[in-house]
Amino acid sequence: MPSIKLSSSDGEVFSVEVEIAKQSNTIKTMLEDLGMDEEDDEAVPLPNVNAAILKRVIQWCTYHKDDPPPPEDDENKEKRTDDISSWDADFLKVDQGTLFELILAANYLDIKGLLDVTCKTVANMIKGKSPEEIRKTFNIKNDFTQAEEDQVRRENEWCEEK
Amino acid sequence: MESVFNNLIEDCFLRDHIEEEIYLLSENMQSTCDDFVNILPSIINHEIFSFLSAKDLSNCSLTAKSWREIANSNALWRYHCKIRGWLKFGEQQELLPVENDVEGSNSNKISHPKFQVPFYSDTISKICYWKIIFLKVHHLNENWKNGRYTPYPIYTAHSDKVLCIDCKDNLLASGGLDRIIKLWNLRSKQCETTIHTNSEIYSLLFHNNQLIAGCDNGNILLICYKTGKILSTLMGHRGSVIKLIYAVYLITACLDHSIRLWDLEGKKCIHCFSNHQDDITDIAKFGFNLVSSSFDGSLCIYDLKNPKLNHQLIGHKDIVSCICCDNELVVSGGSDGELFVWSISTGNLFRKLIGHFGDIHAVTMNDELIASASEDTTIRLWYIDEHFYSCKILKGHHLGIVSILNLSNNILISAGHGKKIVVWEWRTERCLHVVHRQPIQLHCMCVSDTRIITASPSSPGSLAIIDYWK
Repeated sequence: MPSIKLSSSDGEVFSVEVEIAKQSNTIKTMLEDLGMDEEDDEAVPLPNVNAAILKRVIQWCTYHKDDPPPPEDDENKEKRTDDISSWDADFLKVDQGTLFELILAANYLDIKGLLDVTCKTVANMIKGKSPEEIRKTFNIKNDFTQAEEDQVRRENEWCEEK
Repeated sequence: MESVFNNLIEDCFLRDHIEEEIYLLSENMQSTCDDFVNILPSIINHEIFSFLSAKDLSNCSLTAKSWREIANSNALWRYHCKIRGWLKFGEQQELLPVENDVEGSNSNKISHPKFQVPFYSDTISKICYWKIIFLKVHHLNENWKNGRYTPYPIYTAHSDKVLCIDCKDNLLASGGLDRIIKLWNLRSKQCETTIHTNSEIYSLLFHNNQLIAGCDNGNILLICYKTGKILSTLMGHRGSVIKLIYAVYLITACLDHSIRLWDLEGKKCIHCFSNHQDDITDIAKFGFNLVSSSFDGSLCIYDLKNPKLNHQLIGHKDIVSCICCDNELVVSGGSDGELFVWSISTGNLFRKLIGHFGDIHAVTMNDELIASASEDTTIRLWYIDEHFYSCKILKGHHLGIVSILNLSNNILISAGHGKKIVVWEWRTERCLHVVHRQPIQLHCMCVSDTRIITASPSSPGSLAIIDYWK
């Protein structure tokens, strides 16, 4: 199996199978555009991802290397968030800081599947919660003045109606 | 010794306690880091919010300013309008109510404040356009559910019976025995145009920018509804033109036992079907299929692409009074109280649905069910399944013949004799509300997303309009 080397922001170098690394569109484009190939001994620098996160990203990509391409979203239906596999759910049982770093890494490395499942995980943490519960969950400071809050409450009053 | 022991216990207790706390933290995913909307790029915040329901978005916008900014996004609310089929309300201004509209004379008992867009100070951004649309249509749906409507004053529209009505957006056309067609603007509630003709008007249909009228003398009038001018007259039928539909061609059903197809561009008759031996009672279409029913007890299925009769279906023991169809099935209801379900492609009889005790006056269907209305004062819902049609009976509200049905996304509306129109939620078989403000009888009903419009067969001809924007 041909492999390439990836270098994290804090200088740690990981050797990864090319096929696994190519799940990242950013790396795939680099390899294609820059003519880098497996013969090269030079590590691909990833200045936006630290070693701890890169390790997790590689772990995710390794597990998902044989996944078929994801189905197109049905534009006419509410998006689902209850379709996270149990492996992914376990993989994402991490503290919020790590979860958001994983999102940033997935975004930077352009790994659609990982970005999707991490965003869904955050969405699931919001779903069904009251505004106060959401604030608590995410450390949100309520910066509305009383007058503003009253206004926003009025625009969302329909929620109460049944 | 004792104190060492005590310390040990305390230590254990503390460790347990700490572990429990850590466990709780991870369980709740409680944050120790900064509010993520300030860390993540806006495109990702948007992506996360795109997985939320409308209600979750609403809750998010109540947490803090930065969260409200993300949740107050046209793209997100347009999407929530789209998946509910509400885009048209945002794209066609005429579907929305006029702001500061003059209300109908009296509101019904359950009064409710009219929907108003909240006023904003300068310190927070204005509510986005598609959220306003979402809120308005949600409000409209709540009105349908809870029976909050405004009855307009009843119009005395015609000096004699009203025979037909049709509506398009905010326009209503009515035609009557008095040989007059009237065009009403439902926003201003005024009659804008009166068209005098030389024959009684039996059917009306809005098509593109024309109003098409079927007359007692067999003529079909093409009218420009903006000017009220009669543009041309299609001649050929020799009896009252009782029904008009448009599918590929203009299709007209006439009491001369024939159905004609017309090319509206060339203004000529393309084909004439004369397969029935008696009066035609109803026509229906789906795709390139046309179906007709008749007093002669038969149904005909035609091909519109190369106009020809595909099947003539015999089976009913009496008059076939109403039909409906989709891409697979034709359903016919008869005076024998039986419903027949046929294959539209082969003409084979799939099933007889037996249950009604009297004439079936109306039948309609969607992907999930067939609804039939009968003289026996009930409506029956037949759930479509490959081998089995389970039946639910809606009763207890109508006191007389149920002759009219209208089926939409969630709602079934029934009307007939007796002063009632009943609005049902068909999925739950629940009566949502009953509209009482009706003449004794009604024979024409138009339902739009926002209104129910009815006409009574008594003289003079009156029109009643119920508006669910409020």
